[in-house]
Amino acid sequence: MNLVELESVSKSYRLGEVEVTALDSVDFTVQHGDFVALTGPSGSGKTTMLNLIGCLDAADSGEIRVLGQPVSQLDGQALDTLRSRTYGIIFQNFNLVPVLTALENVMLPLHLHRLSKSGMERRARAALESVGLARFADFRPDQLSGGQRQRVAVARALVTEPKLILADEPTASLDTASALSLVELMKELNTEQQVTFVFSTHDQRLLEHVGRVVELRDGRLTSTDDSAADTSTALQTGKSEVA
Amino acid sequence: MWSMAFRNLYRDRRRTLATVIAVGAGLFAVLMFLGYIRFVESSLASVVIYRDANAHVQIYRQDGPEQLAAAPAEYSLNRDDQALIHRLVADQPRFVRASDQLVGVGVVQAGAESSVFLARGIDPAFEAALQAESPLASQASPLSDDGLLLTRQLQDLLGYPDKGSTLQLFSASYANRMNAIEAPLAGDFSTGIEAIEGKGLKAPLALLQSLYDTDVVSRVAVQLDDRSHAGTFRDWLAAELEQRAPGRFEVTTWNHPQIGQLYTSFMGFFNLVFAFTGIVVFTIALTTIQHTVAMNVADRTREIGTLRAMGFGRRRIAGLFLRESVLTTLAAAAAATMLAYTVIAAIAAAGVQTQLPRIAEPAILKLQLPPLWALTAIACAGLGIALGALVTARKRVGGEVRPGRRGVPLTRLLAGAACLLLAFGTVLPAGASETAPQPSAGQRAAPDAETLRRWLREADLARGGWGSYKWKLTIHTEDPAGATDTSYDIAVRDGRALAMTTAPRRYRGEKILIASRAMWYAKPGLRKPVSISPQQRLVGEAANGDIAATQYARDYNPEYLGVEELDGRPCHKLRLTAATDGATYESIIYYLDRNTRLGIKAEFLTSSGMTFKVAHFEYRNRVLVDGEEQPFVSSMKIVNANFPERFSLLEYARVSEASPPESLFTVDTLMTL
Repeated sequence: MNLVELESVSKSYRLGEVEVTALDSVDFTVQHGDFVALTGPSGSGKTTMLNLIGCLDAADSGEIRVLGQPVSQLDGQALDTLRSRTYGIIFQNFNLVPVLTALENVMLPLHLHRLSKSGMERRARAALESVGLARFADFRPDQLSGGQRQRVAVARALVTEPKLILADEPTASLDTASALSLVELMKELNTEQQVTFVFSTHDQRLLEHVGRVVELRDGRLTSTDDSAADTSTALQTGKSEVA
Repeated sequence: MWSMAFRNLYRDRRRTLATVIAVGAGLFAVLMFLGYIRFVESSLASVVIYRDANAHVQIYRQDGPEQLAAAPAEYSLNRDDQALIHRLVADQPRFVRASDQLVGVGVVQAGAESSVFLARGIDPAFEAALQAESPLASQASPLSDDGLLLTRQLQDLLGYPDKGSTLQLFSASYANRMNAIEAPLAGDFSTGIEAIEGKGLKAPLALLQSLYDTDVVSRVAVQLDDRSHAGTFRDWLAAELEQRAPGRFEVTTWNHPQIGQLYTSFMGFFNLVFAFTGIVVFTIALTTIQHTVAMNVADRTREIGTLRAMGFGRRRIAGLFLRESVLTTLAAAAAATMLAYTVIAAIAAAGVQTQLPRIAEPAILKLQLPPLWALTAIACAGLGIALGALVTARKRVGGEVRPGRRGVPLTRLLAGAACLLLAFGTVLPAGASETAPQPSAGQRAAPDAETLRRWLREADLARGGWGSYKWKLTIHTEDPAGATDTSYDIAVRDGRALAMTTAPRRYRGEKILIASRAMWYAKPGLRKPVSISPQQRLVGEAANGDIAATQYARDYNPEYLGVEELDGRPCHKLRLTAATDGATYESIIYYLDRNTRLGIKAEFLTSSGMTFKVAHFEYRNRVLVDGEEQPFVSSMKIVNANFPERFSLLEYARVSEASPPESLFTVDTLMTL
């Protein structure tokens, strides 16, 4: 079963008197274990597509199915539940809660799961350890570097063991080293823990390391590149380049 | 989430502090005002219960609280009633003490000065016990067994008589007879009520009973161990009394509108003010919190978006802002409460004095803020603020807010009401003017003033107003309290009159002297005659001024109103207006038989023009005037215009010409007659 299916999905926005088409009859699928990059110039519809995949927005037309379930049939509460059980989300600007420590930020999504406080803390610490920030657990976001913050954001996205992690320009606010390090981490999670990733980027350095690149232009899919099958080689290349 | 809320507040500590100050100031104002309201409530309750000696529960005859002033004899408790009540209450666990009380009105005289009094007759021991337990400091003199306490204002009206000097109290007895007593001025007290402070008089119960010549009492007052039990006790006692004497008694508590009028009226007003103030403060606090929530939401849209993306529902996110509002309100409440108690303690320590509404004496300001009251006020305000914050937060975090049915704005409602009132205000007077009586036209040509005065003089002559006569007068008075008969020997000489009571036996020796428009009352036991003012002559169904003959021609200015038939007899209708201060009535509508010129009917009017008594005259007696037989009044029936069952029938007998000595009509010899 496809994890996510978009079938003839369109979405437009009204900017004053002008109607802007963000997505135009897009067909797209995500399968378990995918590591997909959405690319394209600014305004091509990458963020809109991520929002639709993540059920953060509703399509004007077409059908979106998550685990075979049409999301248009779900009410607000069911969508909240779907988001909390299915997705982990990483933002371009990390979006950590500034008053919480790294550990507390990671624990935040676990409040929606029926776990004891100690259970939440144990899982959050494990997630932090998996992104290499175990010793920064008690640091607040303003005490961490940009790369560290984004790693905390990854840990936060991972902690609920979601089926799909969506990331909107996750490396845009990072330097190259941090960006490659983050991609390496994401790829590692993908290959070792079979975590599915869909992320938007227009950073060519990263695109070399992803398995499947989907290009958007003016709201339409212009190409789907599945050729980079040996992603681990590409990643190693990327790593060597960074080194 | 609580920790997160707290940290968010700390992060925006300036905004949090501003919000805490704004909300805290509002809550502080509410708490202080609440403390003041409680202080006023407690003080007014003490005035009603202790200073006015109403105690906690009062037992009257049915409808007594409303009717005692108009018909004291009918609505009083007799000895059997008193005994029953005392027997019932004495064994009750909440009972402390009970006492009979009598209220009444009259005139108090000190030398040449006199003034109206409102008296309460109380058992001095009961009074002393109540005053001793009063939370309000009392500067009143103790009530003795034989002395009178007068308010300072009443003493002022009497020219500040010396302590120990003899005062004369004059009033109508419960049998509608004139009576007077003497007692020394023992000290002063305050009624606690500004409106009656100038009339307050307190007397031992037995003394006041002797003035009203009765052994009944107006009520029995019962003191309990605490005022909170008054309602339960009243219910129990009312049920017990109803079982024993159905429909005879009425049991009230100290806060009954007729008993604690001061308390109920002012607490009603204060509660209204408090509610209004509370609503204003609450609205300000709520608006402040809502504004803060809105600002927080606006500043944290990214955080809200992140949480929504994680799967947090709108309710949970609103809950975070609600927690922040609750914490802010709690901090404000804690600060306000601490400040309020500090200020209350400081005011108490400073001994600040304040003037309570309508209370004559200043009182020490002791704001009362019981913790439970403070907690309740804070909890109510906090709950309202939290709800307001929740609504705002849910609305602001992107929830769908369905527009409700559009209500009518308050301003529009008020404007509508004002328009309606204005419309009524405009229409009603216009309508009223249409139905107003029109002046009568076509009146007959009126006799001149000299003729009218001559007619009056002839009519006075037939009622003994002029010349020298003597007769025996019997007055039969009936009212719902019973019937009384009193007999007098009357002597008149040139407009002066002396009435001496001959029956019943116990009233023998009482005298009323009318001379030179002045009137005096004397009885055995008084040191000197009591001067009776024109208004006091109205005492009794048959006014004292009616006992002896009156000279309308001398005391009133006549105005001719035309001819009117009474029982088929054509009569001249005259309006008599008081020409001197010595006149008993303000004005009289007087009907003179057109043929005989005898007065056959008189309507006595109040200053506002309302008829309050009507008199009918008959002339079956005959007397010789200058050797010629003339008709003389034989009966006069005076009926209360408002209560027709109350009337007096004056019957004149054995009328004869006489030559009473001049000395009979001087005040100096009145006590020795």
